[in-house]
Amino acid sequence: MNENERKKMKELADRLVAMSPEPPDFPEEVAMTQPTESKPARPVWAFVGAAVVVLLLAGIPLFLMRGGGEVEPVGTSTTTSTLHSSSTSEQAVTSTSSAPASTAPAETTSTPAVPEQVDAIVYLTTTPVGSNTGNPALVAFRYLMNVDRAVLWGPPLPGLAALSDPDLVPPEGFENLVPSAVGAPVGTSVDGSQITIDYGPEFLDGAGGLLADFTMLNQIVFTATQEEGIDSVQFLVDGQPITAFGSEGLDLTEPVTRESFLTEVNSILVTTPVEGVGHGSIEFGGIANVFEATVNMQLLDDTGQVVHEDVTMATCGTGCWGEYSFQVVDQEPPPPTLRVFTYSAKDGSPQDVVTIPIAWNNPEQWGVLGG
Amino acid sequence: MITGTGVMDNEQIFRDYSLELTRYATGLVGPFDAADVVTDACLRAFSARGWDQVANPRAYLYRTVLRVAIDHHRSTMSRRLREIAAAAPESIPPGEVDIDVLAAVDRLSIQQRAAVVLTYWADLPVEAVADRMGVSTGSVKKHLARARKRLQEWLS
Repeated sequence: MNENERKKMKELADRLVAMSPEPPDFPEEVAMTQPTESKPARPVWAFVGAAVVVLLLAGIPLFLMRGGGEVEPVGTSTTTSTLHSSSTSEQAVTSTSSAPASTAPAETTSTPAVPEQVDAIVYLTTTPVGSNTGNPALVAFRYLMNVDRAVLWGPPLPGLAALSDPDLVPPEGFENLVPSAVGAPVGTSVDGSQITIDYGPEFLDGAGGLLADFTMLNQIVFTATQEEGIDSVQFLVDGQPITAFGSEGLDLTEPVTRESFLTEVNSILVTTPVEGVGHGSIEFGGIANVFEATVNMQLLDDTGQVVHEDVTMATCGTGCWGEYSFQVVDQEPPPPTLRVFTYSAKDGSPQDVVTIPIAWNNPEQWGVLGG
Repeated sequence: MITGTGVMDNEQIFRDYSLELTRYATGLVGPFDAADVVTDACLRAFSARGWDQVANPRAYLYRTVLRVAIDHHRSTMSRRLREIAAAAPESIPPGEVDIDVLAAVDRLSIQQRAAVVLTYWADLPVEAVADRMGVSTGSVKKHLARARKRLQEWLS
């Protein structure tokens, strides 16, 4: 830009702002407005304890899963791995699944505020091993992010801000295909079961390739629909519907759901983060569309040896998506790596293998340092 | 929980920044709705969960003004300009509304207006503009480039 253009731009901005009216008066409503009270960040065991009490009193073991796709309601086909388990620890593991997805920032005290963190569930992607389709897998992670980013960027879900958080470094083997240039949404709103996400024009560039574009959309859609009651996403750019997205010009004028691009993902997804819920205890779950609905898991020690394995049945399979879940307790020492997969109906080899570092962001709960 | 001290702090913050926020909002939505946008933004900010954790209230308020401006009414300026065009000339207070400038700026998205105002009126470096908009520096540069492209007629 030449000097003349710069002067003209400055003149335009100055003349625009020169029309500014007097500032408004201090809104009287402020004195009547109570900010949503900040709650102290609670460790997972606090939710576990509270939930155990509730469940014991009610006598109703609930196991709530959040899935996607054309899934059957989670049912009795979900099995529990209880190697070395006790009834108490089983309940503790189960009850934790009903803990809130995000933790409110801690209440302030008179001492200087320490940067607080909120936890956001984000969906990252990885390339499974032994995949027939070559489609990427989506895995939910609980990510701790600076409260300033979550609050300042202000989407209703911290996860949407987290996907654009430059501090987010995915665990080994995982990627975030939402380009950093996209930035956080410039506007979001929820109307009924639909969330509208308004991005800047950089969003239109996609992630660089058709499959990457689908994966980027899946990451956002799964992240945006993690709350109960939100089922669809309407994408906008600068407030306008999107008629051409990414390298192939995908039409996004209509709302999309978790089902919209399920043909472009691995047959096994982890939609409930792998949570360390006690020393050597984890739980996780997801959706799968695998032969005879059979989903397998293995825990590997730091030498790569399998130290625990289990199998469960999803609520649907062989052509339909069903929910699955696993619980593992009292692993000693806590293994650092989890594998989720199915066995090939053709030759019995592991297929669509997703490998997840368990301790990423929850080393205290799981008991493994690093990750 | 907000305390008496907290309310006073908010009032002080409002006094400190309401003028510049109103000017900023004028750059985003025009003079007609700037005060409403600032009021809404402050109400939203002061009642937000985590407001008492915010280390930089000024940056927060700038971002909230931008978000409220986007939500406010995407076609407000266009609608106001149509109303002005339809109104009797004598009903328009002279000197208060710069129709030419508003018509030019109306071609820009709210984000492009924000980038232009913060860059050329507030004279901020691109990093500071990105911080106040809550976007990357690359996004700011793209907003500015696209704004200049849409303002070619004005620039020439």
